[in-house]
Amino acid sequence: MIENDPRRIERLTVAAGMSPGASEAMAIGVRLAARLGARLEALFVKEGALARLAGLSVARRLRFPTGEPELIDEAALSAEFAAQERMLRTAIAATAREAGVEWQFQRVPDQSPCEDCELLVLAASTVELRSAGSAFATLAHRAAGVLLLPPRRIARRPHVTGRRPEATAQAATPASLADVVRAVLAEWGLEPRRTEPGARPTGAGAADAPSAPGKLGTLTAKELSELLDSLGEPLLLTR
Amino acid sequence: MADADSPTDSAYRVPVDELYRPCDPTGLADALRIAGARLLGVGHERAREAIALGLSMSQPGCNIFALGPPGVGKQSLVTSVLDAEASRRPPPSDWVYVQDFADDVRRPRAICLPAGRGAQLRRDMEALIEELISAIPAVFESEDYRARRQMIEDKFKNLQEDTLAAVEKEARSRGVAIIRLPMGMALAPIANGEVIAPDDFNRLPEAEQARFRTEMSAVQEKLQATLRKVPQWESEHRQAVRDINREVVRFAISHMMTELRDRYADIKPIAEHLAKVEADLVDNAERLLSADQGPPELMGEAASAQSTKRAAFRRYQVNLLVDHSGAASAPVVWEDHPTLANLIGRIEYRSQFGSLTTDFTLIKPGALHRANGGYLVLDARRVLTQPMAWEELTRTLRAKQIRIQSIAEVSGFLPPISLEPEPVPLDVKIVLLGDRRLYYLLAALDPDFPELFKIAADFDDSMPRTPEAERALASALGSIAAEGKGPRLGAGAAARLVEHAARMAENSERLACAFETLSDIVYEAATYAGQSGADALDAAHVEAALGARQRRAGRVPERIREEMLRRSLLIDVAGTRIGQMNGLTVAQLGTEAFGWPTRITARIRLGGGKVLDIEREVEMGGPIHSKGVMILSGFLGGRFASDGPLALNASLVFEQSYGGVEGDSASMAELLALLSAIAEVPLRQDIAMTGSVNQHGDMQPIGGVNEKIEGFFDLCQAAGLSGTQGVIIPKANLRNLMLRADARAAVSDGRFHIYAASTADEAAALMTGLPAGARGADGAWTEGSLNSRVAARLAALAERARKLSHGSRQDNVS
Repeated sequence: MIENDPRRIERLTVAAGMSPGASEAMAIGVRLAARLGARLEALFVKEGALARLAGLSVARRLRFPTGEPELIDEAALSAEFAAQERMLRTAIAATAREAGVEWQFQRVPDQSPCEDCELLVLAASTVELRSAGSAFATLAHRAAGVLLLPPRRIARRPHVTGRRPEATAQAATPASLADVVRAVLAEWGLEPRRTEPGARPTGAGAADAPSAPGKLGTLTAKELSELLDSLGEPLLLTR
Repeated sequence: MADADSPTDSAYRVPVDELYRPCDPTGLADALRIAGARLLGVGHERAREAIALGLSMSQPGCNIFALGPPGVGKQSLVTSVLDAEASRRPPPSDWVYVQDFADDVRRPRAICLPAGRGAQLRRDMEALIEELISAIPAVFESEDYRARRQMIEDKFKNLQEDTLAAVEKEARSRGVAIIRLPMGMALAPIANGEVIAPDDFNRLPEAEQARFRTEMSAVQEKLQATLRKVPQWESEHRQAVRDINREVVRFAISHMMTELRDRYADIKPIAEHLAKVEADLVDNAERLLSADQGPPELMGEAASAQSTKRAAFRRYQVNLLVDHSGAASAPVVWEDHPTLANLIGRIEYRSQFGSLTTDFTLIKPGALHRANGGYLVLDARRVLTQPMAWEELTRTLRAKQIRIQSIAEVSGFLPPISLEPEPVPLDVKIVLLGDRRLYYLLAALDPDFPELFKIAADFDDSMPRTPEAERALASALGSIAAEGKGPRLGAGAAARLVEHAARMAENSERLACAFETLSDIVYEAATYAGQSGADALDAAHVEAALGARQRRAGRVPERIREEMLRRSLLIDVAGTRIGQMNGLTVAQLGTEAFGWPTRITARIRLGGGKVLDIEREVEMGGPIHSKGVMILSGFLGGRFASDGPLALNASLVFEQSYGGVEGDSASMAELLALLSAIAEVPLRQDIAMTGSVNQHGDMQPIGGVNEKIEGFFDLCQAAGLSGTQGVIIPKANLRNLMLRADARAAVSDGRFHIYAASTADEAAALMTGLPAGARGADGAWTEGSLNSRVAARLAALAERARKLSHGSRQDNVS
């Protein structure tokens, strides 16, 4: 269905994060949203486990780059996340505005992410996904499509900032979602593969995957994380 | 009153042919046929010789100061001589500024190249930059580079992740989670894959809690050990990336740089610079690669990607400071706005995000750079009136190198951090143009000046009126008329211009070098000739131009004359009066001078021999005028009271004078007014007088004689010429006479008279009709003479003074 009518993708969801992978996912997400004429939704997940850290007397934080241990202070931790959130919001606002994309920034608890995700763009970011990827695993259950991006690699430099895409013209052009994804990724020198609903991903990346997703809705957080780790190239999963 | 035709008068009357020295047009006809003649050097042989000497001397400080009044042809002669001299010398070197990569980026290097090679180098470097802009990104986007780079990235990423994953795996096996935070990583106990809630942890048995603590300590040590390796890994990673970047960039640019180095192998500094460029390109490859993602610049506007890229490569550009491409000779530079920056160059700034930045490409040359290896001509007054320009010019000449500094630096103010461009060696000949007063002031007050400007080219303001000079002047004026595309200069017009040159020189035997004024008259006369449809300028056209110039400047003399005729200004031009003389005054307003009569009166009384100068008392008299009045006391005392007291006080004044009075040209008139007052002998009011007097009674020459005579003539003519009116002038001024035609005609017709006198006695005889008289062997003056009357009156005053003095003593005794 998505392939036949790309304009049905009205909302595109991207994980907002500070890692290089998350930044790249956001850049690709913005381009895709512009091409599809979709609204961009940036999700900033507040992990429950992180909130519990502050109450644990045994929990320790090791600071970069010295590795010096210290007790975790709840107020300080909250301030750090608030600062991170502000930085991300500002950066996404600038990027989306330049691309002419409507956008929304949401802070959500990891147990209750938004329900009506249509296309989710996920980038591999090992530490984050292992520890805080459950929210996106939940989202991936329900999304109409998921674009998985492999660990960050050396790509041709993306040109998102400073260049306004012709979103309206692109959106009006009948094309499959796969075609649009391919066009956008091509700007990064990336070539996506696509897998049918319920089918095991094929190709080099899929061959290395430790477990094949039977259906999108059945992916666990662990499976999603392992799948992302194993990817050698972008993968578009559709229902 | 003396009759105009009395024998006494006629002895001193100046014949009409001595009032003007005409120029014979027939002698000029041949000269006017010479095409393209110039005023160059006419009458300025001394200056030409000095300039030639100055240009031929290569010793330090042999710069030239061309001094003389404006409009005498300094600029034309200097241009002519410099152009000729420059044409015999080859063009000097080009100069470029380049970035100094090795030492200090704030000190751009100055490099000289053979003429024309600078422009070639700039083109070559521009071409290189164009090629680099596309070649460097291309090499970084090549599959080969990306694969190699990916291998490095993978290696270090895997190293970090594998190590971290191993720690994490071990941590999980110990029941500890590693969680990434915005600032660092956290360690927490887990159960069933989830972080244990604080309350749950507290409910755990003490032993279990202790176990967790032990396990967390072990994980913490492992994680700390891993984190401590991270900086080292990152450093190795950066070095590996840097190495590969250097390698690929070196390979990409090597052929271009080799070609360039070969092309400039004969210029060692350039070859060295190119080697530094190559090394810098290799060292800064990554910075250049990210250039097109850099911030926008230029006044806050978003710059194009191309301009941003070019900005990153700007450090490799060549700033061509001085370009002599196509020049066949040494430069001759005229700088007519010699500010500090225009002389020694400046450093410009560009606005970037609200602040000002600069680099070596923004170094701009000054006149000294452009003239280096040649000649620089400057107006001295303009240099001196520009802040710091003179100081820096002389400092630069002394140092023999051009150091670009802002006015803040030169003034010693705290300057902003800026560039310090390497000084450029200076080899230039400076020619300053200025007036004489400026030259003598500089020579007196600036100790550096005589050392730096050793050659004075003194331009005369007049030249001897020889037939050759007349012909040269006529020929040059003819060329000026021809260049003006107007009617040609006829011989009559040329002769009239020569005569006017003599009048401007105030000397019938000399010609003024006021070439600019003469040229203006030619243009003006050509306009009149053009209006009348004449194909040649004749004397009438020149006369019309001169008349028009006089009319334009005639408002003030006409008003004065009107006031005199209306008797608001009291001047008598007929009759006689005791103690009252018509003196003559001259004034210069703009380009024109004019004269008018002034009433001078003298009063005496018994006193101690003091002659009171009222002008001086009210501070309206200048020092020269006061000196002239004091001389009168010397004359009176020496002639009439050498062996007795001068028992009078006298006062002298310029009546109805409301401005300052300066000069001694009225001192003879003042003397006669004084003698008249003493002797009570009336003076003619139809005669005006000009001339100064010394203590012996000799009449001395004065200036502005023509204008003074004409001023009185104009008043008499307006009032009606009586036939007796005239002017007495010093005999020494006869050679200065170049009177106006109407005044000459009046003299010729006997309606106006010019008298020339040599002594106070001669002038007194003319003014009183009495003989001056001579002192006999007994010391007495000729009976009935003016001097005998003066002596008698002074003796009477002395006797009266003596009696008064004696009476006063008697009174005191009694």
